[in-house]
Amino acid sequence: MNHLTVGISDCKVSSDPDSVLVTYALGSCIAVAVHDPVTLVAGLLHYLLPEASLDREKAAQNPYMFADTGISRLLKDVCQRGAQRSRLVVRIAGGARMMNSDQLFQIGKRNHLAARKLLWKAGLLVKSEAVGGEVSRTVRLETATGRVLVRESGLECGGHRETRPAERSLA
Amino acid sequence: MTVLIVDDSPVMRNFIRRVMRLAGFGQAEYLEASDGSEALRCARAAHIDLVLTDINMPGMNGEDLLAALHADPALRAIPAVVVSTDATLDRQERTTALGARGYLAKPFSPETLRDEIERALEPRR
Amino acid sequence: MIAVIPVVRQVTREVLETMFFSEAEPVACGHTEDCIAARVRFTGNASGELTVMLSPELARSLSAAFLAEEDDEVTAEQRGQVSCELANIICGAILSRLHPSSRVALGVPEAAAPDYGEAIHQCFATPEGVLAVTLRMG
Repeated sequence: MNHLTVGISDCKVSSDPDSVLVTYALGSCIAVAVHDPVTLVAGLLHYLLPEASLDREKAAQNPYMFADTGISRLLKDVCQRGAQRSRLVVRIAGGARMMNSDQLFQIGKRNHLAARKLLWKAGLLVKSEAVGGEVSRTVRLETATGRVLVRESGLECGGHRETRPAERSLA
Repeated sequence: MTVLIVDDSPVMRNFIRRVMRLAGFGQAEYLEASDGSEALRCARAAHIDLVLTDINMPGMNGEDLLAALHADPALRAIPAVVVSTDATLDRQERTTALGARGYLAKPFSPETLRDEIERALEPRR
Repeated sequence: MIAVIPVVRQVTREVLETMFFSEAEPVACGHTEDCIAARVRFTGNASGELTVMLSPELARSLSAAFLAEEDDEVTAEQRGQVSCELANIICGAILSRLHPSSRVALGVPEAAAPDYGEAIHQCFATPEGVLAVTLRMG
């Protein structure tokens, strides 16, 4: 099994049936997993913020940091590898509520809504999602099967970490 | 497949049509009506495979449309899903009794509408 | 007796999140001078009217989201139609929760003048602009 790690503000695409795309420590960030079940092309994006207009300069350097530029590039990347947009199965994860945040709009929820809106505008419905709560998530996408596995653990709060090691497959 | 979307709001009809297209029904033909009377005329003129209808509409409302479809042996079997702002149990029970296979109260996400439509189109035992 | 303001808040948030992909946080009200307003009247076991008021940028953004268009592609007519449907959905959902066993009929939503008068009134901040909901009962 060939593990391809997707970092924060990062994206990877694969058509190698032996590969598994994996991203860690999804707190308020969102992971978008897409898979074409015919050509077996997989793509996994991990973005940090909802809109490139928040920092145009950073978006130019790294489009994967933001939902709008990141999702657009993810779709382009997988299609260049042989996926067909209309066949893509889409799953999302992340968007957790961060502790000690006094912002009016929670970044996790904004990121989640941004993903849903952009995918809707791009002509894609979400097959399933694991979002919200106060958990950190690890997401794995198997290129051969399109299966998405999510592991959740408690976000650190006052030094106490509660872990739930079970991993579940997103339907 | 021919789908009949019944709602007095053109933007709501647009939303529903988009959900259906993205849910895999892109090859279907879509007919639209803005009230129950227009919908009934469509249903009598064409072979309809699915009706998605609002309740509150000027003229003939969605419940009366369902009653008219149910009363007509040629139209009774058409699967119908109610998509309405009315979330009262009373209305849901009445429309189910008139043969509606699904009921969705607004607001709902595109994915929830997709799921309800797929459920309504499952072959009946 | 169900408290009305919490229902208005909960419904408005739910409507904006599920169908318009936006979030709404209740805030203290100020008057929006330039806004797009839509009203829906209701009759039956409960009667009255509900008005939504949106800042122009918010109306454009919500319309674009609902219609899956880009913001600059939305026409004024579409903004008006989406604002009317927003009023329709919020009103219907609020009434269904306040009067779950009653028969209440909604009228056709229409463009309207803003309503900041004495009534149940709640404002919301969204990332794209301001939304206000005014509910008059009886």
